[in-house]
Amino acid sequence: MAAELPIGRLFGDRRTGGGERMLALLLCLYVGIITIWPLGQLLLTAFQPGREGEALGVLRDTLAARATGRAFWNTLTLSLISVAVSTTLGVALALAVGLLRMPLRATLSFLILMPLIIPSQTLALSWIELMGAQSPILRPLGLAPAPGAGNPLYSRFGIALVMGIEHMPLVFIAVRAALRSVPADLIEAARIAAIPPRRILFRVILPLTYPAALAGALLAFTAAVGNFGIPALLGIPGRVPMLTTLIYQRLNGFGPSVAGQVAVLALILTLMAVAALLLRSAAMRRLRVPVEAGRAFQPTRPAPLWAQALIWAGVLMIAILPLSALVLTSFTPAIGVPFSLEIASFEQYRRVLANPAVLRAFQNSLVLSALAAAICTAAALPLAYLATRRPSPALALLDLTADAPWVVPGTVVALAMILAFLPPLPLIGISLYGTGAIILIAYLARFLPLVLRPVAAAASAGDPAQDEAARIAGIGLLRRIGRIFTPSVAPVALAGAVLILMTAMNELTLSALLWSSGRETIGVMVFSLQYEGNSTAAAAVSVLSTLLLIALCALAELLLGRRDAAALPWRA
Amino acid sequence: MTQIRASGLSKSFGGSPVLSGIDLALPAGAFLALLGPSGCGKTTLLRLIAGLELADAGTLQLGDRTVAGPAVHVPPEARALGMVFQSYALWPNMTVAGNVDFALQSRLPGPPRRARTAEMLQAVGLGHLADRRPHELSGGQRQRVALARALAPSPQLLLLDEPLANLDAHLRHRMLAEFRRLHTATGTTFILVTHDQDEAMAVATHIAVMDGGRIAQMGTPETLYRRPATPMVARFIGHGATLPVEVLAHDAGRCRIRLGNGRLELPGRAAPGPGWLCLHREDLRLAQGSGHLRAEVLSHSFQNGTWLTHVLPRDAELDLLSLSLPEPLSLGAEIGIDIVQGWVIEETAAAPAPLPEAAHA
Ligand SMILES: Nc1ncnc2c1ncn2[C@@H]1O[C@H](COP(=O)(O)OP(=O)(O)OP(=O)(O)O)[C@@H](O)[C@H]1O
Ligand SMILES: [Mg+2]
Repeated sequence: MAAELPIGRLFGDRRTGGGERMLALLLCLYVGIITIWPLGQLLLTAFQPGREGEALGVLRDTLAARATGRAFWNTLTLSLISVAVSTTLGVALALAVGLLRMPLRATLSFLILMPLIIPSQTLALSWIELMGAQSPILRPLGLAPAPGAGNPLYSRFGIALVMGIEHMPLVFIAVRAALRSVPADLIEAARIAAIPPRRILFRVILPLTYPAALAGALLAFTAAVGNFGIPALLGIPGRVPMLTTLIYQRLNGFGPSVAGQVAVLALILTLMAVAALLLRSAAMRRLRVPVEAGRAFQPTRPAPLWAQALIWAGVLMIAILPLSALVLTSFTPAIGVPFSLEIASFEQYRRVLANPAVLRAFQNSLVLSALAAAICTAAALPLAYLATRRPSPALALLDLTADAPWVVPGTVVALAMILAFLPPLPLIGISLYGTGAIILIAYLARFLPLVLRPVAAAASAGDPAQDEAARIAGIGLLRRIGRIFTPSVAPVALAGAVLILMTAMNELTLSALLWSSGRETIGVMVFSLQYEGNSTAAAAVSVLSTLLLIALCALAELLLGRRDAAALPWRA
Repeated sequence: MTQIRASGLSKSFGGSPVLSGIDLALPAGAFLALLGPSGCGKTTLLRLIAGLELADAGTLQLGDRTVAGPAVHVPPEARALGMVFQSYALWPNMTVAGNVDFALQSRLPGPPRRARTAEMLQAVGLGHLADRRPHELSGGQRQRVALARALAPSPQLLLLDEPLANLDAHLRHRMLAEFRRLHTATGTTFILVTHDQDEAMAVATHIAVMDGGRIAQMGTPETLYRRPATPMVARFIGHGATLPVEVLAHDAGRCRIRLGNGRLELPGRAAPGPGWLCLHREDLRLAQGSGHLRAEVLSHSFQNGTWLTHVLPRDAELDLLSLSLPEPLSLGAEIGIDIVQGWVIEETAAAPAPLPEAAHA
């Protein structure tokens, strides 16, 4: 029997039906094409021999190059500084929101999450507008740099600061969740033991948040290492090369001939990101303090006015001022004209909306993101079903590899796609490079975990007997997936799909390397407008894309209804 | 109708054996209660019969068909059986009627399916709740939906895994009666897993007591009660107790034994040598004189019209005994006990043989 062959074992045991094996094989093929093949190409390219055929020649040459060293050093130090910024801000805000009672806490939480929700190129742009000589906010106050002095953010300082602010929510979310899980009993027990509040804070509550803060910080480091939007908008004009922007500039300047070199750079990036993530999971395992689940504690101390003022000032600085600068800039009719109420107009909006390239970018992003969300969800459902209900070695491996493109920086994924799909496809003989398909495949690979992880988690928390009952009743595989499994994970699957839609609409990293004329995305549009010096148009497009995003969020809330909307990402 | 025959069924999880060499033969139409302490492998055996787990060794026949064995595995859907899960496993996105209807989808076309669904819901008394969702039902109602769903395709065998564990005592009795009624009405063979021996005695035509991955004894409730094969079975069934005794002689189904200093003759099947005397409450009487045993009164409580009295035999190795008395005795008093009935087994029938090392098939 086929089931007795080792190859059969790979896909399950004798209980595993033919349909299930077939489906598993299809999913292997799918993940193989979109993930394993491209990332494998990247590895092969990085380890290829040098021009004279010496072993690992490209690797050694690239590692020895001065540019590599400089970009590595910049990436490492600026990421570390940005992590310090993220951690300080994130911990302080989480403690303030989590421990003090004050009005509008939900609003405050939402504003604090803003930097994570808006795309990094938009964030960079807002800060550029806020701190530039033409700043619509600092200039009237007399605080803007002198015209011609250059933007202070086009520097190492600027990159670290803006990255720090962008990734602050990662620390905030982690610490906030840890605070939420502190059971009220612990604090009440300390109260009854007559321990003063200050000591309860420092000895009971805070120690339970340290592991979360560390975990959040390491996540922020991974995000900083892989960030492309901020180094691209601030570092390229500021001549501060980072690994992501070096890969971009090399590929843009020299084309595929430098594939080996950039593959090595991508490898370094990957190692940095993966090292931080491994450290994170090791730290979580070592430091995690299991606390009994129980009634969560509610802050009872009202925040003193000065503290509230301080918090709102911080949030104003982080979330509101830069975005206001962006919005005000978008109302300026022409570049270089300082903003004032008399000249404010919708001229820029009229102009960008009349620009076919901009409209095309919106359309491309919408279509690509919607397709990515739909296809990823359609793949994640059977994958999670088989991985949890019919586990087998092949599926365990598949489940693991599916995460890889999300773990490694986006630039690395984009490069892998170029290496895999630039050569003409076998059999059909056409190259996907220069088509929308290559961007779509990159999205499919990179964003699959955003829906797969929550669906798999919900599936393994669910009752397997529901599926077994259907099996005993003789319900076929596809019907079981469609009628029993899918409804049981539908809210998280939908939330995952929405997250993919939002993330894909926001992204620049992948499409910056993969776009071609006619295949621009919103991110690429903003980036190129800014790059051409048309910052007012870039601001208008950013504002429009943010509005579109907010509209999509509202639509998702509406469609999901009150109960299921709780699973949506921004409700976290 | 199904006859179940298992021989040498074994199963281990990650190297630790959970079932070792299960032999089982059950006539068609029987109601078997699978009884045993927590973790002894009851659920695993049930899942093996359902085809949800793979046996490492052994064969399983349902009727005259081999459904599990070397190189044979008939999938659950082709075994013509129904199952009621401990969690009920109702499909939460479907109504009560939807649950039954969906379970019939691969067996019946539309109109007869709807008729059968209505009929089954009537049979379990849920006709009026057909449009509710599972989360809008009480525990007992969910249980009934699970029953209706499992019985709807007229399976030849119904497996029930601790179906009453989540219900309160009153509801349990109602549901047990319901099981018995449905068993008679459908003629389906039932296997009910439980670790409550009263539940088992109340409904079953057959009881199998499991212990450490083996079947310690299988038989009618009366056999298990009157003639337990191992001390574990004796203690498990009917609140039994066991006393160590010495068997002096064995003849024609009766044993002469020495207990402490007394001698008596009781039914049993132990060869001369060390043995166990298996006792129930009604086998003990308050002695007028010193009796067969002397014991100290520890506690008593008034139950079902008599005084349930717990006593500790003087001889320290002996277990706690209990007897029903018409009057309360003063606590701490020393009394004599007469043994009027009992069942004697050999000491080697002691704890079931230890599990062998993982049998990798
Ligand atoms: N899927 C599994 N993986 C590993 N071990 C398992 C698995 N299923 C059961 N076991 C182990 O097998 C043993 C028997 O389990 P089983 O569920 O059959 O016991 P049970 O008699 O039904 O107990 P209970 O009365 O508590 O339900 C237990 O020790 C359990 O831990
Ligand atoms: Mg069990």
